[in-house]
Amino acid sequence: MKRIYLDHNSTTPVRPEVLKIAEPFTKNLYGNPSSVHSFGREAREAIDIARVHIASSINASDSTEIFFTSGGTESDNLAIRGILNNEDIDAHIITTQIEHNAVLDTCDALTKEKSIRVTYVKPDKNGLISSKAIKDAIKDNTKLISVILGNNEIGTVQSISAISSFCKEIGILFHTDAVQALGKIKIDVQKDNIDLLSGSGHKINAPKGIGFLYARKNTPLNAILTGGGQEQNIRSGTENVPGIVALGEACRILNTEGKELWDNVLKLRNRLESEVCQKIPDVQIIGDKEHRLPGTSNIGFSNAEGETLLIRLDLEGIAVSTGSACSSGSTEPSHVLLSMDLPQNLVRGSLRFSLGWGSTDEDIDYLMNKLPDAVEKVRKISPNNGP
Amino acid sequence: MNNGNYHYNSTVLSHIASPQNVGVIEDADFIGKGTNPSCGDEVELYIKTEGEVIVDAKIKILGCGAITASMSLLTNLLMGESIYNARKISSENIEGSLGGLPKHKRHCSKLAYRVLQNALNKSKKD
Repeated sequence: MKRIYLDHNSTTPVRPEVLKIAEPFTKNLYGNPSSVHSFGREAREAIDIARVHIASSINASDSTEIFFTSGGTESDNLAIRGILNNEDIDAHIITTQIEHNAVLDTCDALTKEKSIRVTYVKPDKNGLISSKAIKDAIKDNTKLISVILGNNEIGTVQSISAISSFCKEIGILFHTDAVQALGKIKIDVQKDNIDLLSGSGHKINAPKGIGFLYARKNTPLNAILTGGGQEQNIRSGTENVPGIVALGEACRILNTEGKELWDNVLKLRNRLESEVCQKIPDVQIIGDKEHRLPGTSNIGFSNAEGETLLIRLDLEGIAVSTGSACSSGSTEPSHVLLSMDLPQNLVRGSLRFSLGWGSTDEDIDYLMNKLPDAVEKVRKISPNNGP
Repeated sequence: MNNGNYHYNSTVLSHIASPQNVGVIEDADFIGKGTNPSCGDEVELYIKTEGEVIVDAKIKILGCGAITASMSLLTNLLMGESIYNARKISSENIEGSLGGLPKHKRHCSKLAYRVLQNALNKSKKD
């Protein structure tokens, strides 16, 4: 059966050129970068090159501002936990209701572990965060503001520079979870006054299990793991050399070809949305249409259940995600969609289509060949439709 | 929360792909409706009898894959069955006939059971 992958926000395929450059580091180039001998030196050298490509992808002023981690979740944990000192027992953090769980659950845990207080700023109905709402939430003891750059579910891109500029003025640290945005939109940590930024490999066609945290020079950051003191004592643990090399190569490719790639993906995404709106009645595109990642489309199909639609598409070989999954007797609609106060009918029938490297017009042809029928069939069995 | 057993088996998937006996019976003898308030699933069950025997059963569903499969399977269990035996169908029977549901979806077979009970306890003939 033909298989179409429209779930690039979940994870992406590893590009062959990325795999090719990383593979020797799983074979003959197996040295530990901390070793003094030649085996170690060649691994260290490869890591340093990767670090430069990554720094360049976000315009960091120095590659030593890049710290490798196991992925986006660890980077978010390191950023949020790492900036807190022992004396910060009742510091205040501002974040948003549309963050990834890596940020939300870390903040939540800190309210229990310490007496950290957290303000979760609500988005508007288009999934945008107002910089004024963030500013209004600032207290005397606000230590960190963390705002997701590109949302994983609806793709909305926040105007973070409006927020980070007053953070800089007041002296509050600014972190952004850029896991979904990295490589897809222009990021400039210097111009945008970003102190901390999380990135991940497997969202940009590198393997799973590798990510990084950018921390601007002199940002006070404490390790959350203790051990061998790798990564300037910030992240102990022998470096994932093949993963780092792969992530570096993925960034290098995007630094040169990213614009062309995402311009094409944007055209495909726009085609998908216009055809869905044309061919299927009672649908609504969720999230701000202008400030959005190029490959993400979240569409609400009224009077249909997202999970049932997802399975029907899956049985046709089409992979997508849903924002609504009923679990343990209670629907767990995505916290992102809930925070936008959307009608329940849309939330429960929401599907996320996410495109990326390798997506083609043929994928959209195939999807549009199957989707209208799948939606019609799911709607047909609904009590709200006639017999 | 993904705790391992998250995927539907092939029997469940085939019911989701082709739900059995979808529709409404205008002159049904028994009608059951049910919702799961917390998850918002809405289901309707229509039963037509001749004497004590169920000759037709139809369903309408707005809900997830597990409730779709549970209701679809239930109609198969009901067809040709006596009302007496239909009353004895449990959520375990439904789930068992489906070959099991993921743990976090078991409440769906319970909703199917409740709708059946709701139908049988409130006959249109009463």
